[in-house]
Amino acid sequence: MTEHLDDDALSASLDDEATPEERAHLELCPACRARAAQLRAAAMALAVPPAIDPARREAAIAAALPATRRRLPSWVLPAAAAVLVLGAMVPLLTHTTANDNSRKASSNEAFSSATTTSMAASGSAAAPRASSGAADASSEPVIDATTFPAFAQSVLRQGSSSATATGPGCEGAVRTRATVGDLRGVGRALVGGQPAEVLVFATAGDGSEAFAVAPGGCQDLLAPVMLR
Amino acid sequence: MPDDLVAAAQRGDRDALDALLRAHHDRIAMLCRRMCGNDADGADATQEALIAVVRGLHRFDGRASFATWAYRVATNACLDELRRRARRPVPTLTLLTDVTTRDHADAAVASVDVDAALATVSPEFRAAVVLRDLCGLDYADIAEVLDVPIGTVRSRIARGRAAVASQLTGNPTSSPDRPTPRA
Repeated sequence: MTEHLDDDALSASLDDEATPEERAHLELCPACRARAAQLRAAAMALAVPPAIDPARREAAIAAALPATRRRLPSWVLPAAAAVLVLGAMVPLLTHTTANDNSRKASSNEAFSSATTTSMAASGSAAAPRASSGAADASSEPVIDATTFPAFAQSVLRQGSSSATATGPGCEGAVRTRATVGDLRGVGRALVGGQPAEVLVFATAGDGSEAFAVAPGGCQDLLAPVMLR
Repeated sequence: MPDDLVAAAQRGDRDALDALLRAHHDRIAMLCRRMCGNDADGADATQEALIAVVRGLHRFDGRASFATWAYRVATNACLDELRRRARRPVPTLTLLTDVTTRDHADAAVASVDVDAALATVSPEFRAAVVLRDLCGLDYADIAEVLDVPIGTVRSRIARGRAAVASQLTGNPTSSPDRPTPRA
């Protein structure tokens, strides 16, 4: 036999997928066996597993788990309760005498002033903002499947596309989202009781989905929601 | 993979879903890493693949093994990712200040030739040989994952191995001195 096996047949022989005729030729042909050895070396090189980064494993799994069932970090509920308590105290404090004003100023500015950029004066109960200079948290919407379409439309009208992407592992997560869908805009909302930047991405079929960037971490908020 | 774990995940059991993702993450990550050719893109594709698995879990009907189904979802996620990158090579999001660990040159020396070789074949061909040699699927399962005939699988695997063989030998026409092979 003067005709030699092509790479398809030689490669198949490595996987026991060659025909009996091809196997018979291979047994008798040193040139074909040499080529098969090269392909075997290639298969062995391909079989070397790339390293898996444990941190990326955790991030990928966390990002894939549905956000609606995500357990909140342990600090979220106490922090939210403290914010509510202090928020309820603000109206009472405003009725105190002028002598008290200087002592309570730092608390008031943290929860009632939209122009302040410092959260340090209010103590540890208030979670830090994702970015400075944002609107009062109480004016920010809470996103759910019902309110998200209106929120997304509002974000689109505003046309803002800047975000700070703070939070553990957020940059990589945001970058991943950006490769999947086009960033349509950025707005602010309450996520898990705290202010967060919410990135609205376009998805297939004119859908949109929200992705939150908050001090506590990043998460997909909802399954894709159709805007129209 | 126990069927009851899949069933529990399909019913919305978060712990079961977590376990399911953990059980399949590494093989999906390896597939995506090799398909994409670098760590950063592979991680992105892996994350999208896991998201696609979760979102498509209700469509898994048990006709194939869960692993085969997950490979199909992951392969499609990788192919989609590669197509998107081809259309949009530069990310437009200005907040992305760090493209992270795209170059792990020292750590990746062993795989540089493989990645470079695989880059010379189309993603569809790459998928076949990666599913075979890295993931260990047989030809029938690869045909199911890629939705192509087994003969096509055989040809694509051979093309991928030949590309890597050329890299390993440093010779783009690295066949031994043989007369023209049979067609």
